[in-house]
Amino acid sequence: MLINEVQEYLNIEDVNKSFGEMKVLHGLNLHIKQGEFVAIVGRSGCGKSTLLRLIAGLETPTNGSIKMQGEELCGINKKIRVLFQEARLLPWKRVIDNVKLGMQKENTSIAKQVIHDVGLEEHNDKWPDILSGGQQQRVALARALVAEPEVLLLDEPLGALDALTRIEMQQLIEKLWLAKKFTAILVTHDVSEAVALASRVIFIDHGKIAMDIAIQLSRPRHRNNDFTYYEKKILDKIMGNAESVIEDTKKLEYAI
Amino acid sequence: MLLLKKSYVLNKIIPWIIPAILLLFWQVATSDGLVSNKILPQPIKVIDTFIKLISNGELIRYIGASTQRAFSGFIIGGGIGFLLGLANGLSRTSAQFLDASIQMIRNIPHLALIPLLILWFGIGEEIKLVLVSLGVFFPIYLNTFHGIRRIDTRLIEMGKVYGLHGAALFWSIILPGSLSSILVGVRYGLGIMWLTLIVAETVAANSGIGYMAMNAREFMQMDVIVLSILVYALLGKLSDSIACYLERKWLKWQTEKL
Repeated sequence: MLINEVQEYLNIEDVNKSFGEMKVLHGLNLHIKQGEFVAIVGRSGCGKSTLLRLIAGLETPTNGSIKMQGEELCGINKKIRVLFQEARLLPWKRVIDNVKLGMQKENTSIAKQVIHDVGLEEHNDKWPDILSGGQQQRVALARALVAEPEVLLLDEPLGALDALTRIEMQQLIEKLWLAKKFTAILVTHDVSEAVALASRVIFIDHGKIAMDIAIQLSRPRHRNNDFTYYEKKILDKIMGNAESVIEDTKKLEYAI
Repeated sequence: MLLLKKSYVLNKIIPWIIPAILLLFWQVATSDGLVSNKILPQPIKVIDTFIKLISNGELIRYIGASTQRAFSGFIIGGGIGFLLGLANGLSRTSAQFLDASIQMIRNIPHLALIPLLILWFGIGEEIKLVLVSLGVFFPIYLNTFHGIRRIDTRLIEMGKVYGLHGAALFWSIILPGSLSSILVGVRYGLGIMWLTLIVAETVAANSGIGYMAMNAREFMQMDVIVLSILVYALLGKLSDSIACYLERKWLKWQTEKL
């Protein structure tokens, strides 16, 4: 047990969170290794976003503890950055100044380098409002990564994008994760996105972990049979009850 | 290219067509006796008076006196309005404590207070400052308050994730986020500033444009009366242009498509 604790990087122990009467998380335990890419899936309202906000320091647990390298996390931590569902760029700052917001000490050449990494080098001096949704999310990604965080939290950041842009963004996130070796925690309702990106997928149901599965696929990932195997396995677990209902009605149809 | 230039010139001319026609009509109507000069002076006579009053320094002195009053009142009233708007926008407790009272006072037309203010302050400089400050206070207060309240809380949350708090949060997110609303208040306040000053100067003054107009009325100097009205229009337009300029300068991100 002791050895285990030393190995783990981010430890979420017995965390409860309730908003007034409503219990969102019940005694949740999760241990994440450094450099891991974890995807958290679940239906809306299952508590997955709350878990992410707890790690980000935007909420405090009702009880239980969240420790990073043995130290209790309290409040906002410089080593942890968040990519929200919306880009949340400041419309009155140009792209490069929005990225500089992520730095402790402003450094134009580093900012330019990161903007280059996300493929927006031609847009340094533009206002964010004229960029497309995908480009805005890239700026937000650059802002999150510019200070080389240890942990990147992604709160359904691709949900609002169109299908093609989403695949491009997934490839970009994977590329940057491989290059910069940060720990990534992605909350998503899209199982295929989780399988495409994560080395481990966690399914949260009613505030508890209902499934914890390692994805053993080589990178870059292709949507082949193995991919579909994982996708189906997770989806079956999520749809669990719903599917048996469908089968029942089917049997009935045949009987007629 | 030539076509573009032509339409540019045309665009500059179009707004002036109606004023030019009116001016022409005015000159024709007054010069051939259709309208008596006791009712309306000839435009040429007004221009003549303008040149005369400029050259003897009277007009410049009066404009100076009025402008000084107007902007002193604007700075006092606008300053207090901005600070209170800021306080109430940033702190729920402060808003709970103050906003209802301010809204109550807002519903009294400030010009209705003139009789009371004359008894309190006499007819010197103070009453003009008080009236202008009072008039300017409310639009600036309201727009600052609502400007801050309307800022997207998600942007503030983002700022906190990136370690912004206190002054840094104010300068990077709160002030720029509410600036467009504050400038609407400034523009509106500038209009009220001149309106209030005209009334205050016609009630009681011994210098300023309003005084010039009231004095001219005593001696039936129609040309001077019309001139003072035109000067007011000009000053109003000028301060509005300044507000527009500030909007263009500070809110580039809203208009520039680059």
